[in-house]
Amino acid sequence: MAPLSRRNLLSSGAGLVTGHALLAHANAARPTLAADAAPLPPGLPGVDYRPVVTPDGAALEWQLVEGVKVFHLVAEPVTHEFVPGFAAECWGYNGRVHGPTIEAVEGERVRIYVTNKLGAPTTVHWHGVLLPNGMDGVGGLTQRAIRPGETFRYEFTLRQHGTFMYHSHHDEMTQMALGLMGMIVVHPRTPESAPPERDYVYMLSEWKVVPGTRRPDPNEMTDFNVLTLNARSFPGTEALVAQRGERVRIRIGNLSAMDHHPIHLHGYNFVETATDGGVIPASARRPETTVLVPVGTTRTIEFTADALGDWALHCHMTHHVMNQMGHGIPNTVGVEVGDLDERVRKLLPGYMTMGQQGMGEMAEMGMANPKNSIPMLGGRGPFDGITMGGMFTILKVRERLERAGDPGWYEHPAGEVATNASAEELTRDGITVEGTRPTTGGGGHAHGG
Amino acid sequence: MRTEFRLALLATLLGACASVPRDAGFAEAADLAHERGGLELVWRRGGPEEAELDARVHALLAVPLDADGAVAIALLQNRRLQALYSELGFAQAEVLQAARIPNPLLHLEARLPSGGGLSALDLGLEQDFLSLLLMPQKKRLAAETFEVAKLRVSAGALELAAETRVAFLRLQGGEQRLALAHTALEAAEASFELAQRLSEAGNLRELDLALEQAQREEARVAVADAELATIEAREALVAHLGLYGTEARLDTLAPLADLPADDGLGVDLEARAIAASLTLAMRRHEIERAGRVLGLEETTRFLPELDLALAAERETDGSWQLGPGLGLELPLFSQGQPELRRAAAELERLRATYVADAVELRSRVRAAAARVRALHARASFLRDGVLPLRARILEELQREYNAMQVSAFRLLLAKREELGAEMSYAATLADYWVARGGLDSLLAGVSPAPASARSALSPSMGLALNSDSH
Repeated sequence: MAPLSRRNLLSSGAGLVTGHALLAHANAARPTLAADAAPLPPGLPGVDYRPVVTPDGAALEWQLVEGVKVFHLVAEPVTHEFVPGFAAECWGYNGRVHGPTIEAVEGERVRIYVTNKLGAPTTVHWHGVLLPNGMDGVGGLTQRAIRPGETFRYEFTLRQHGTFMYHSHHDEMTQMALGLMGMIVVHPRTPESAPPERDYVYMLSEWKVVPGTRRPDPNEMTDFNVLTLNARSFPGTEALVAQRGERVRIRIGNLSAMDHHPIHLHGYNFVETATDGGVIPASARRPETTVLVPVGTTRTIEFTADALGDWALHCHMTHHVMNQMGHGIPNTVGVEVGDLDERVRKLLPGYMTMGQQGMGEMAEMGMANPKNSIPMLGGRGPFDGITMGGMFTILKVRERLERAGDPGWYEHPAGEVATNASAEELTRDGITVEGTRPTTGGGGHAHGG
Repeated sequence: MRTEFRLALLATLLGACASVPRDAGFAEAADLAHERGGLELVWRRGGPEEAELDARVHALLAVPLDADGAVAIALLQNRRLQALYSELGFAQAEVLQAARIPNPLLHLEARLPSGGGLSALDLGLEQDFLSLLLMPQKKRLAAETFEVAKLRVSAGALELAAETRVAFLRLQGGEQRLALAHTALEAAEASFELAQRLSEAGNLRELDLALEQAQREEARVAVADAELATIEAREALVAHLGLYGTEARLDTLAPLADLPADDGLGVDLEARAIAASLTLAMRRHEIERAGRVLGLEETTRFLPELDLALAAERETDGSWQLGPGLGLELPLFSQGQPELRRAAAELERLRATYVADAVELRSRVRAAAARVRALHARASFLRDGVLPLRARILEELQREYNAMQVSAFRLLLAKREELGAEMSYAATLADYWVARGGLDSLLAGVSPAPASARSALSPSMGLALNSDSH
């Protein structure tokens, strides 16, 4: 296989003018390749682009066949683990949930075979990708659905670059609720002047998995209890890493059934550089700390990793950083239980009244839960329990990253961690503290930890 | 000569006396009760052993009482049973009476002032002669009566034992139900108190508070019901035991025996019950007696129910009919047609009643066996199916609660549901043992009256299956 690289193309004289004409607009919002233009030669990783990283995910493999990049997606049932100890029977592609990230280069021709190994018909829609109508993958509208056992061919030329998605567009409610989706990254044909050292891609999604069951419930409309980044929930999410000074790009798509997600990054402000509609002109960009990713869109943000530490990255909707907790139970905040728990334990040895002081302690309790569930699960941090789950991960910025993988917890410089104020400090600054007991509820001492 | 004759009569009389045991047949009755039910009968007639018997009762009451202990106390203390023993005295008197010549001397003396000759004496002698002729007959009649009296004593003791067992089981089951009802009340109270505390914190609607309170009040009512039932059951037992005062408290009962692996039913139940039935035995003696009035021998030979294998089929085929015509074969010394007709009618009635009794007994045995089988199955299902499931449901709900998927109220409700299942099992277990006792009684030869105490199964629990009260 001796594919033409962009460099080959550029150095080959022929097509040079065309190439330049295209590349001149590489960063514009509009597609760079006319619909009837001939495709450009396939782009190669390490040569034409720096591959993205899909945390907890993978890239879809491909091969070059006569100048066409050929992919093969297999829709099939997959047993997927959201967090160690919590798995569900989902639908995915190529043994993964979500499907592997399809990575390609602007201008090249792709041929994507889709084999249906599900029990139901399906299609694949290439969300945001400009393509011939008949390749759009909408069941019934632009094609007939792919029946179980059939393999369909989709083929088109990528006329744009950017961050897109693919997902089933047949019985969408069911098939997307079960996981049939993935990300598409199309790199620009023109080499970026300074491509980011770190290029991450995320798919946001939400699920209803009744604790104790092992299959997502596609009928759920509002009460989603598993919120995922690349189909993983914290503490099952892989951390992002960057070395100080590196440029970081994070591409985020959202195919949640019913929720938009304001994704917040601690420690930084960043710029939103692109949507699935294209590159945002520099004049339209503004600094942000939270990027709202509506359902059915992608957002790309960029920043320079200049602040060391372990920085939280999470959806800012508070119920989206919980794991499988129920919502139909009485509110016990502020309730004085007195000796009631003692008496109830005579009847129910494992009982304690919960939540009088909130949910913070729950993650720590380690109480028996329904099998295959993570209702109260949070993560373990370097100082304490992390009371978040769900759509939460950590950006770890270090001076140097010696090797791939998680560098462990950040070691803070002396005096740079909030801690118990000393009496001397309080006196020095004229702070008077009257009593230390909580002012609401009280009596909620059942939580020994 | 007359003196000699009287001496002979006395000898006959003494002979008759010798055939009546000094204890009026009590030992025989006691032996039968022991053989059939393992009972130790004691006839309390005053005397030095009374103190020792009282001490035995005290000793039985000093330890957690079980069914055997209760039966032992009843046999020692129940005065109605002691009163029954006295019937042996009446029967004994009849035997003695039958062996006596009716006042021949007085008869002769009455004749003397009339200056009468030998003919008067002859008449008197003739009367004596007739009495003498009738004496063996009368003695046999009295002997049958005596046999019936002994059987009645054995049966009475066996029935008292059986009823005592039932009363004991009812109290055992009732106490278990009461204890469970108390625990269920605790759960309901905890639930209500939690609701109160939520309400005080401003987290609960008045409606939810009222709902919780209603559940607590209902649990209280259930306890009150169980308390009354237990009091009644205790009184029923105490009455059988013949206790009163402080001894009637019965504070500590042994727990209900576990459910046996199989239903404990033997084979040939109907045949065994027929053979053992003391009621039928008594009837046979009555039939013998009635037959002897008519001068018949072996009146019971053709009683169909004695042919155990064929009895049920025989009842309507008329093969053993005893019509009035039988009276025509009466011997010459009989006492006149009206008496004969009466005696024949009595015999007819007795034989018909005998068959009716036997048929009914068979039905009772079948019903008792079916009840034992059904209650064993029910108890097994509850113990092996429902109870483990209830425990598992509670365990899973505890997990759900830990996962904040269900409320503490739901969890406590599940606890009460589990207690309800345990109540149901305890009631069924008590009913099973009652049913077993009932069948055992039939096989021991007695048919105690249906237990007066209610079944432990509470209708409010929707578990009316096979309940005595339904």
